[in-house]
Amino acid sequence: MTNDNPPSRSLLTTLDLRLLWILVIGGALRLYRLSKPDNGLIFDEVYYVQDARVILGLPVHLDHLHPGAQSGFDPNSEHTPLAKLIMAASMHLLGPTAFAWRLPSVILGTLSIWLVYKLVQALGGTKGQAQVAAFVLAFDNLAFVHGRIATLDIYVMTFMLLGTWLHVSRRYELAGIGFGLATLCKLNGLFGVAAIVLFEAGSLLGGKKPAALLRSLEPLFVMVAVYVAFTFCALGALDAAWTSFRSPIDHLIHIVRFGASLTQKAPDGASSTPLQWLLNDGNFEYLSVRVTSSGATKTTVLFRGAMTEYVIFAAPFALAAAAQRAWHGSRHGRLAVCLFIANYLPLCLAWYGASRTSYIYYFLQCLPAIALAIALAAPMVPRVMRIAFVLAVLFSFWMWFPLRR
Amino acid sequence: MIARACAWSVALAMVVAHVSTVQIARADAGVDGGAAYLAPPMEDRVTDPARKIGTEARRELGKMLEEVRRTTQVDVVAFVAPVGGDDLEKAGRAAYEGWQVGAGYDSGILLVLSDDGEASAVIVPDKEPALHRDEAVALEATMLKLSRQGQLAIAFRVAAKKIEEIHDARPVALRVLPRGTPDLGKAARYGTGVLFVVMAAGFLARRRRRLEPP
Repeated sequence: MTNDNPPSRSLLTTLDLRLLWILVIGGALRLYRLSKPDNGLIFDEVYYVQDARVILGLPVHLDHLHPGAQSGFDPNSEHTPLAKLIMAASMHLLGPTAFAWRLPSVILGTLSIWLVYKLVQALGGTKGQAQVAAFVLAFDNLAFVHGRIATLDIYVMTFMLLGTWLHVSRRYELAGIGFGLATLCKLNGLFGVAAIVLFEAGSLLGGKKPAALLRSLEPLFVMVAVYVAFTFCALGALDAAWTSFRSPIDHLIHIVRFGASLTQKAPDGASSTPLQWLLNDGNFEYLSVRVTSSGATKTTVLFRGAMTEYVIFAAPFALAAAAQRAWHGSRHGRLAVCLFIANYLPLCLAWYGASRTSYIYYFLQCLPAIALAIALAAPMVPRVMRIAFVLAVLFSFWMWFPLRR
Repeated sequence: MIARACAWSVALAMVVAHVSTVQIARADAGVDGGAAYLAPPMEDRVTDPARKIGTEARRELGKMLEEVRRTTQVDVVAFVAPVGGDDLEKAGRAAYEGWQVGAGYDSGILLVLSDDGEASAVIVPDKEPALHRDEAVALEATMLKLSRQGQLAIAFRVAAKKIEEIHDARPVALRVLPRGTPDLGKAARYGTGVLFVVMAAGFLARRRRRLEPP
């Protein structure tokens, strides 16, 4: 007796156990003692948690609020409101606790690991390459820290990755919505669209005929059209319900003007220049707790705004390899380079052209590009080097783990 | 004609003289009809025109009040007023406003003692006072007890210490802001646009999937 049914692929055979491990460990470490330090706000949480409290109509301190702030409205008009509304929704459901305002960051931070894995696969990468990219995003210090604190950057990065993955997977319309969500969290989400424009423009370099050219550009037009329409309507809806702006255009102009007004001649304190970031310079402490007992001082909590050294030092080589592969027609290489240029170049231009104040955590949006580039370069190096890299990243992660005993 | 002009001039001069006399008399008395009091110029954190507190004690007290201001963000100022009895409160209030006590800080408190040590007052603003009324009354009683013994500087120091304790024991003030009015009609119109875009995008994406070769 024979079985005529076609062999079905069970969930276990399609499941990548290594990815599962990375997701479980990455997610668990992001959740570990999430509400610590007790009642302590980490870095820019002093702004965004305050904003979420104002949105919910909870009592607030008057620090960091402009005089005209109103209950039920987002007082932080220099950024688009979606990320703060998500934090507020979490606090509404779970109570105004540190766990509640950080939980969305944990979810999105863990989701970003899965998304970068899927992105590598969608670009034709192997399972191993996808695992490397997921590993880099799971254990890089900057991605890890932002994946467990209530700031806007992890929201933008994850939604931008979502849009990129959807576009590469030929779901162009949905990609427009993904990029729209990123822009609704912070205007920098726009850089994701710029990356795709560069990516698609790169594919046209072959010198196609006008009709074929137009056909090739159709996905880009569709994505951009959906992005513009969705972002405009959604920002209009959010503004009308939760801000004092009555037109999304007014709000966008305000954001650009405010952003342009933040200038300084030379970096000081926490600020740094984009070139410094490539050397992991300009890092600073988000929060540190030092305890003195029996005359000895011990650091029990140290959240640090810095990349993992081994990741950032591998970045130039990996990006160079990606550029070389892109030159030879690799979509994977082209996307890594385009994502990096679109997210890094505007920050360089803003600093060197207009003295716009910059901070190292702006580099978070460049990390998926670096993860893609490292994943692409991984098979080019001997196995022993790959293992050494993984161990070095884990060692650095352990050294800089924010919560110590 | 000339006589009439002279008469008017004399009448006018008398009116001017009367008004000036009344003003000078009121200023000399220190209290203007129970309403206005001309506060002396403010001398740092301790104003004591009659020099009832010694130089060193005044300097020490000034340092202490400065420290209280730094730690609590409440502007505490001491005043030894040259009036007593019922006028002390009015004099204190005039000085509080004239010196703009509390401006630039969370709140302000003016501690007032009469120069004879027989009256005390604690002046706080009507809006968002750093001390409740009963706390201010208790503080006045504490100060009065010491000032009657001639311990004016100690009375101010004890009061400052008490203010710091009250401030530390109080939970940090949280406020609910006035509620903004959303434009829900506009939000609904834009929201309809969002719904339309999302539905259209979903439809187009599905259509594209169906038309794609397997």
